[in-house]
Amino acid sequence: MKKNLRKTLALFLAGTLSFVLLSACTGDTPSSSNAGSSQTPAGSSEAPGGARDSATLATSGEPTRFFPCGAEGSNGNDYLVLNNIYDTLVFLDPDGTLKPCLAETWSVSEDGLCYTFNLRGGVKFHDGSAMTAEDVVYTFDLSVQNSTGKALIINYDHAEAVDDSTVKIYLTDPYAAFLNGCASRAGGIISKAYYEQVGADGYQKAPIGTGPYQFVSAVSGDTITLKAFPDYWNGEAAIKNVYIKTMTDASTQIIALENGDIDAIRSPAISSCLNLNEASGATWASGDSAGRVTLHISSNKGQPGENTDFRKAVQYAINKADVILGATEGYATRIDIDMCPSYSGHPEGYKVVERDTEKAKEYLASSGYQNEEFQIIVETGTVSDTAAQIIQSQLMEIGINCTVNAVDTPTFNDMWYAGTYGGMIRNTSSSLLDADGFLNFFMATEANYAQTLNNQHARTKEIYDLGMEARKAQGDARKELYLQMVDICTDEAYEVPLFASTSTMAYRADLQGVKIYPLGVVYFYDWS
Amino acid sequence: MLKYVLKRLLLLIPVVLGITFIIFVVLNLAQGDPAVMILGQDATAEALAAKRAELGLDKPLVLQYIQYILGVLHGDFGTSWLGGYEVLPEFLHRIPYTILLGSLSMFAACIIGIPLGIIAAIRQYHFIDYASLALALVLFSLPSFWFAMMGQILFCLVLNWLPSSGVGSLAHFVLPSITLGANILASQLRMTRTSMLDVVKQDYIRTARAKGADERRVVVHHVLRNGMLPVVTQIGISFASCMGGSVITETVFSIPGIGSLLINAVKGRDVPVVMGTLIFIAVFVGVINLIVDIIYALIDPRVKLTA
Amino acid sequence: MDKTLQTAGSREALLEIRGLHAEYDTDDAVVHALNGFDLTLQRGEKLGLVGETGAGKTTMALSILRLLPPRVGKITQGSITYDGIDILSASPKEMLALRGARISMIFQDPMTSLNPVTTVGDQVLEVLKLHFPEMSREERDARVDEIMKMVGIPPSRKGEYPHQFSGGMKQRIVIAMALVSEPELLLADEPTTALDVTIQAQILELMKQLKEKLNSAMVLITHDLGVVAEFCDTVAIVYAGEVIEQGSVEDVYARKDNHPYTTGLFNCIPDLYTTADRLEPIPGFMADPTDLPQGCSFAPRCPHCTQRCLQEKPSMYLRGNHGVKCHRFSGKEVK
Repeated sequence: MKKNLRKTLALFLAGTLSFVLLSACTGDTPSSSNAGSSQTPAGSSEAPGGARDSATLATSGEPTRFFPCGAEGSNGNDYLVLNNIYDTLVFLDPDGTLKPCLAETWSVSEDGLCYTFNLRGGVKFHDGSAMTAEDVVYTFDLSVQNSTGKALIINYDHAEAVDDSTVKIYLTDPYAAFLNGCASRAGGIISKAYYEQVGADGYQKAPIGTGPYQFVSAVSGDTITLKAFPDYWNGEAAIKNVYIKTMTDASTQIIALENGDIDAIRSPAISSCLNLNEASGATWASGDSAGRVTLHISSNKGQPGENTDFRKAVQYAINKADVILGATEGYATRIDIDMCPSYSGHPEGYKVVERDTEKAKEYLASSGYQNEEFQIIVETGTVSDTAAQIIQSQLMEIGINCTVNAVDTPTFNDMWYAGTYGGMIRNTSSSLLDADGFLNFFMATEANYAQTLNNQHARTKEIYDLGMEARKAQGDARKELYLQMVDICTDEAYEVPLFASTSTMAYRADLQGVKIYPLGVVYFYDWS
Repeated sequence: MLKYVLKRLLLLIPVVLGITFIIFVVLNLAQGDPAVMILGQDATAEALAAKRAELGLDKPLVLQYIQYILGVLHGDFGTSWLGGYEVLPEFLHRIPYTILLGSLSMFAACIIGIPLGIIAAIRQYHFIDYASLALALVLFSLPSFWFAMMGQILFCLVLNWLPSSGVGSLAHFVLPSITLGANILASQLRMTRTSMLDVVKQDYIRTARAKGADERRVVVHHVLRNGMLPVVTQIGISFASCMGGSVITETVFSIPGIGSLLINAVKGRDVPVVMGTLIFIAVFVGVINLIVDIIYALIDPRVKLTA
Repeated sequence: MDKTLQTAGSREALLEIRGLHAEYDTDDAVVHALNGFDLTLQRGEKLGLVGETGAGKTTMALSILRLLPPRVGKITQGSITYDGIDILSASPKEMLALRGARISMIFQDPMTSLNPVTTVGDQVLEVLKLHFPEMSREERDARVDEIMKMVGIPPSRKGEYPHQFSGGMKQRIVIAMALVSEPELLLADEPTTALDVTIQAQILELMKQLKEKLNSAMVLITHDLGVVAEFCDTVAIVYAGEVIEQGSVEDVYARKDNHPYTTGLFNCIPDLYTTADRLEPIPGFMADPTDLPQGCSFAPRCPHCTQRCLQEKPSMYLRGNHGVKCHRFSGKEVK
C-alpha cells in the first residue's frame, strides 16, 4: 500500500509539473487575448478586388512611447508610431519641402518672433472630439518641458489661441528652422481634454491623436497594432490594418520578408538589402537620410588629438571613398562638413580637404607624435564600427598606433560623455533636418547638452557663439555664419566628416506608395 | 516530507538574495548611465542629474539594494527604466511564452533523446549506437543560432511549411523548440545511454537473467527502472538551463518571452527589469530542482529526504 | 507443484559436463578460463567445487546457464548435458524455461545481487510469475510467504526494499529467490564469502536445513575446504580451468592419494592441535590463464614434477570413484 502510494504520488507530481508547464499552452499565444492579433498577422490579407488591406512592418528597435509629451520625451523608434497617430501643424516631405497638415496656411512676422497658423477645420481626434487651437497651445506648452521638446522646438516662448482655428506661437529669438521643429515628433498635436482626463499614464496606455491611424494595442516585444481612422480629415487610409512587429534579428527579418510573413522592414542594413532574393517578390529602396557619420577627434589633455598637427594628420590620411565603399557598399554620399546636404541652412563654398598621405605624414612628424595609442570608440555592430576599422588601417599606414574599441551603447555613451577617447565615430541625425543640428550636439559651451561638457575644444566657444547668431539669422546671412563655423572645424580638424548615410527600406514588390523618409520613419498613409 | 519542502523553500531565500545582490553590484559597476539611456542624448546635464536622483542612483549601493528588496517584498518590482511599464505585469505577460518554449523543447528533446539513448545502450556496438553518439555530438557542437537560421531557410523559405518568426500558433514554436531542444537532446541521449550501460553491468541484472527473465523483461522491468533515475535528475537540470538558453532562440525567432526581455534590459542597463527577471529565474530553477528531488525520492526507495 | 519434463530414469546423471573449454576475449589477451572441464552430477547430489580465485569455478556455473558476458565470454569446445538436454545447442526459449525454474543460481555478493528499486517480495514473486503463470495470485502469495519463512525472513517484510536488510538477510532473500521454484539443480557460487563469519555460520545452517527439505542437486562453489566437509557429499578440486581431483568427501579428505595441489591446499590450513610457527603455502602463483603451460598446468609448482608432467597433460586416473589428474597415479588405476 505504501509503495502504491509513493508511485501514485510520483506520477501525480510529474503529471502536475508537466500540466503546469503545458498549461502555458492554454494561455498560449496570449497575443490572442489582446485585441486584434489572434489571427496571426503573418502576411497580409488581400481584400476582395486585389488591393491589400493590411500590412506588417518589422523593426529592430521597438517603439515604446506613444505619448510624445511625457516626461521622458521620445526617440527615433517611437517616431514610427507617433508619426502615424499624431498630425503636426506642417508636414515635411522627403525632399525637404514643408506641406500644410493641420495648419492650412501660416505666416511669420517680420522679426521672425511670431508664427501665425490658420488651422484646418473639421479635424477630429480619434475619440470623435474636434481639434481646436486650444489643443495646439496646450501641446506646445507641454512638449517643451521634456528634453526632446526642448531640443526640437527651439527658442519657444509661449503660444496663444487667437480663436478656435488660429494659433500664434511666440519665440524668444528668431529661429530659421522653427517650422521643421513643428513638423518633428515633438510637434504631434495631443488632445487637451483627453490629457486632463487620463493624465500622462493614461495617454500612454491608450493614445489618441488626429493622425490617419488609431492605436489599437501594443504587446511588448511583439506587435503594435494600428487601424485606419475612418474620419481622418484627408480621407481614410488605403491600408486598414497595420502591424508593427519587433524583430531584433536581421536574418530573421530577411527570411520573413522573402517568405511573405511580413511586408516591409524598416532600415535594414545595406548588405542585407543587396543579398535580398528579388525572385521571392521582395525589393528595396534607399534615399537620403538625416544622419551623417563623422569621426570626432578629442582634443582633451592626454589624448593624441590634443595636438593640432596630429588632428590634421588624421584628417589628411583618411580615404573617404574607401570608407564609403567598405562600410556602405558605395551607397552613401561623401560629406566634407558635419551636415547632410539636405539640411536647411547648409552653407556653400566651404573648405574641403582631399586625401594626401604625404602631407599627413608631415603633419604627424611635426606633431611630435611618439606612438601613443589613438583609440577610436564606436558602437559595436554599426556602420560606424565598420568605418572605424577601415580608418584604422588607413591611419596605421601613416604610422599612427590606432586601435578600435567597439562597445555596447551604454558603455559608449559613458566614454563619450566622459571624454575618455582618442576618436569617436557616430551616426548622428538631426531630427530637424537643419544645419543647427550640427551645433549643440558637439559644439556647445553651456550645460544644455551634457555630452559636450567634457569635450570642449579650444575654439568651441567661438563656434558656439557663431551658432547662436546663426539660429536667429535668416537666408543667406545664416548660411554665411554656418560657413564660418564649418571652416573653423575644418581648419582645426576637430572632426572628419565621412558620409551622409542612406535611409533604407526593404519591402514586398507589390506594396505601392513606399517612400523613403530621411528620418527613417514610415508613413503608412502613403501605402496601398 | 512537508518539513523538507518548507525547508527547501526557505533555503531559496538566501540563494535569491545572494544572486540578486551580486547581479545588482555587477550591473552598477558596469559602465553605462541609465539616465542617458532613458532621456536620450538631448538631455541637459541638469536633467540627467535629476533623473539619477529620481532613480535613487546617487544613494549608496547597499541602500539602493535594500530599498529594492523591500519593494519586492511588498510585491512592487518597480517600473522599467527604459519602457516605463511596471515590471511585474510585463513579466507575467511574457513568462508563458518562455515556459511554453522551454516545455516544448524539453518535450521534443526527451521524446527523441531518451528512447534513442535506451536503444543505443541496448544495442551497444551496433550501428544505431554509433549513429546516436554521432548525432549527439553534432547536435551538441553546432551553435543553436546556426540551427535556427538553417531551419528558417529550409522550412520557411524553401518548403514553406512553417512560419519563420513571431508567435501566433503552435506552429510558430516548432522551429524554436527544435533549436533550443537540440542541445538538450544531445545531453539527454548521452546521459540515458551512459546510465543504462552502467545499470546493465550490474549484478542484479545478471540475477534477473538467471531467474529466467527474457530480454524484454530484463530491459523494461530491471534496467529501465534503475537506469531512468539519473535521467530524471537530468531532465530537471536541463529544464532549468532552458531558461537561460532561451535568450538566443527568442531573439532569433522574435518570441516575446523573458529571455529577450532580459537581454534587452541588460543592453540598456534597465536594472529593475534585470533584477525582476533574475529573481524569477532563480526561484523557478530552485522550485524545479525541488520538484525533481521530490520525484526522485518518490521513485527511488533508497533516497530519503531528510529535513 | 507439478514439473514438466522429468525425463527417463533417475539412474542417468542429472548434469554432465565433458571437455568444456571457455575463454574470455578481452582487449589485452585471451583468458582461457576453462580448459577441458569434466564433471558429472547425479540427482540430489551435493557437490563441493573447490579452487582458488580465478580457477574457473564461476565460469563453469555461468556456462551451465549460458550467462557468460556476451561478446566477451565464449564456450569454444565441449558439451553440457542437463537431464538429456544439450545445453549448448538449446534454443533461447528453452534456456529461459530452465533458468530460475529447473536450474537456479545463488550469486556471490548479496549486496549487489538484488534490484534496489523493487521490493524483496516482488523479486521472489517474479520467479513464480515467470515460470508458473497458471498459479493464481493467492497461490503465489502463499508460496512466497512459505519460502520466506523457510529462509527465516518474516513475510511481513515482503514490502520492504533490499537496502533495508542486512547482508545476511539479503543473502537469505537470494536463497529464497533461488529455491522458490523447487529447482532440480542449485548452483551456489560462494554464497557465504561476502559475509562475516557468524552470519556465514547462520547461512550454512539454513542451507543444511533446506538440504533436508528439498531434493535439489547442488553445486556449492567455495574456496573453503571446511564448508565442503560440513555440507557436501562429493567434492571436486579445480585448478586452471580443469577438475584435477574429484571423489566423495571421505575419499578426498582421507588425505592419502591426493593430487599434489590438494595436498598443498590441506597443508595450508593450520592444524588446531599442533603448534606451527609458519603457514605452509603452495609455492609459486596460480597458472596464468592467458598463457597456460604445455603439460600439466600444476607442473611448475609441483614438488613431484617430472619430465613427463611438463610435456604431457595427465588424464583423470580413477581408483573406484576417486579420480586424480596426476601422472603419479597412472598405472595405479582401479576400476
